[in-house]
Amino acid sequence: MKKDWVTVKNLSKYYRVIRKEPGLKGTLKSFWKPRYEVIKALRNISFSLKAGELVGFIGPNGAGKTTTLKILSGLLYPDQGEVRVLGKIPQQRHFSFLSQISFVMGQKKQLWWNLPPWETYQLNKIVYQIPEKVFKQRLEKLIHLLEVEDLIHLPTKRLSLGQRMKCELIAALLHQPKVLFLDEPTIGLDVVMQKKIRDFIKEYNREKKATIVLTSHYMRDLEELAQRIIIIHQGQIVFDGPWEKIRNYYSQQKLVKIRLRRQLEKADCPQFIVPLLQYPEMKLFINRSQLNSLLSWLSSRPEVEDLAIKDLPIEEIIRRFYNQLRN
Amino acid sequence: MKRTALSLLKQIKNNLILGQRLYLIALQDSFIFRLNFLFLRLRNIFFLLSITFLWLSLYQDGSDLFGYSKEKMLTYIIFVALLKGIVLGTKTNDLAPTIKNGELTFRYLIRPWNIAWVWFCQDWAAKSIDLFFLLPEVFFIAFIVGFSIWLPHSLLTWLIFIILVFLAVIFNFLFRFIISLSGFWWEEVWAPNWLFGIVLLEIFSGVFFPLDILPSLWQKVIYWTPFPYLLFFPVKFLLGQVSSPYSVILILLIWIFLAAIVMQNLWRRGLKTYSAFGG
Ligand SMILES: Nc1ncnc2c1ncn2[C@@H]1O[C@H](COP(=O)(O)OP(=O)(O)O)[C@@H](O)[C@H]1O
Ligand SMILES: [Mg+2]
Repeated sequence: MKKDWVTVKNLSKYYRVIRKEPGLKGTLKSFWKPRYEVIKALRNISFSLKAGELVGFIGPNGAGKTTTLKILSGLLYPDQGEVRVLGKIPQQRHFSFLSQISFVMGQKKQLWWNLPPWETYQLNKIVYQIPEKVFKQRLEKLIHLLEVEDLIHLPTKRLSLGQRMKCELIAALLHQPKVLFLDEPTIGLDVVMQKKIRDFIKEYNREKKATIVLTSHYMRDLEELAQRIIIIHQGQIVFDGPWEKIRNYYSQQKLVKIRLRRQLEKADCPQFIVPLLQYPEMKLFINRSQLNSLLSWLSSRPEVEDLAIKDLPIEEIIRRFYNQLRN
Repeated sequence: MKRTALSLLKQIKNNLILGQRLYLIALQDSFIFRLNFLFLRLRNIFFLLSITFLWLSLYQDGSDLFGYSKEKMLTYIIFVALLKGIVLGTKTNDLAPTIKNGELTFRYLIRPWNIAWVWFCQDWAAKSIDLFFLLPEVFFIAFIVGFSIWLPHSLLTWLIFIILVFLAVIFNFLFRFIISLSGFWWEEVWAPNWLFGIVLLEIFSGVFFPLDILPSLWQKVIYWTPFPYLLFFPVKFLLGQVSSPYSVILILLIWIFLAAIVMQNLWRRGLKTYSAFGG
């Protein structure tokens, strides 16, 4: 049995936001007697990750992915529950903990904006106490893998988003963290660059046996990367399991989109369609077993102008998991 | 015993190397905003010139004023101008925006290092840049007044002076850091920064005039604040007008001690608040 490197038990996190009434009076009032509104960002979530596991955290915007990672890396305090990473409480921010993790965020930067990435690498070498020889080897290898040979001596602000992301990754990996948190690392990048970064992450996981948590609000992003998927929605974990389970789930059903020339008569339709009738566009979620008969019937109808068969959209899957959870 | 001593030494060495690297980074990072610099320098030269000519005109009939000879007064102006760069120069003004825009978490909290030490080292970059411009400016003023400057000869005096300045540097850092921590709670940080960082600090530390030309009640009140011990007393000591420099050292040490406690406390609370509002 491999050991758990990350454990989260009944974790909840609330944000306080000051509610301001409009106008000068409201501003003054909120200054003297601020009214707080509580946002429940995480509600009672639990999971654990083993050594070397690569996990995809998926959920729509605002689901609580970033909040989870911030708590795991000790940047925010939990309101309830218990968190351990590498056996330590992250919020205590022990140096021995901090020097074994890394956190990369798609939109935030740890590189100094005005200076070349190289300066940050030099700084990290000292901060993480990496011996010069080892540092050189690792840096050379990372630079080579990510193809940024010519970039690390340019001021960071002159790099493109994708180039900067690669340089951020290098900064985050120089000390070879055992646990790596990546928050939407491919956001805003083109498809080629996304693939490069995904491949690189996979390779790092394979070679260094690091535990990696990767978030995305885009399901397909993680399809080829993570064996295990955790789906989070409105601050709750609605699914935690292997990819195949999700694939089964959404290969069982298909979404059929139909465009109509004119309205279908109720009398002409099979029973199960009747309550779903709409005009001029219909969306049907159909079991695969019913698909054939539906299609042959549709092809005989002159009212049908066009039709398309699609996988279930991720939002629909998440919605279903979420409903299951609540029932 | 020997092991712990060795690892302590290694830790100190590492922090010094880190300090050097941070200093260089902050230096390069600061040199980007050139236009802003120029404006600040012009303002400073203008200030130095007007204050020098003001005192020159007051000393026209040749007699001493407020117990200062003309020479000593000019020395005061020049040394305070230089010390202002060394003691009051700081980069902590950047801390509050760093808190606000979330850089604090991703650049500072995520690394295994002492954050106060990091900012202290960056302070020296601001001081160096200040000094780099101040030296020729002050030399220019000294040239105008014909180098009529009063300098002590005793080595011990200079030694004590350096200790005083060093303690003042530390207190200034802690004080400015504390002010910037208000960024955890307030939206508009420029207000406390302006009030404490510029008005109180500069007037009460004696940037504009020697504090002992004020009525004695005022003096008494001001001496109960930490500010006069930053510039006024060290320079006055250099001029041979402070009989017990050790009490100044003691007072500075007490203020440093108090400030360090307040800073620790606010920092811890700040992080908690930060967390509640989401960093
Ligand atoms: N600093 C903050 N202040 C108040 N609410 C926040 C803050 N950060 C996030 N939230 C809220 O918490 C919830 C979870 O946000 P987040 O963890 O950023 O989601 P995700 O990363 O999945 O998009 C959202 O409802 C969001 O609006
Ligand atoms: Mg997010």
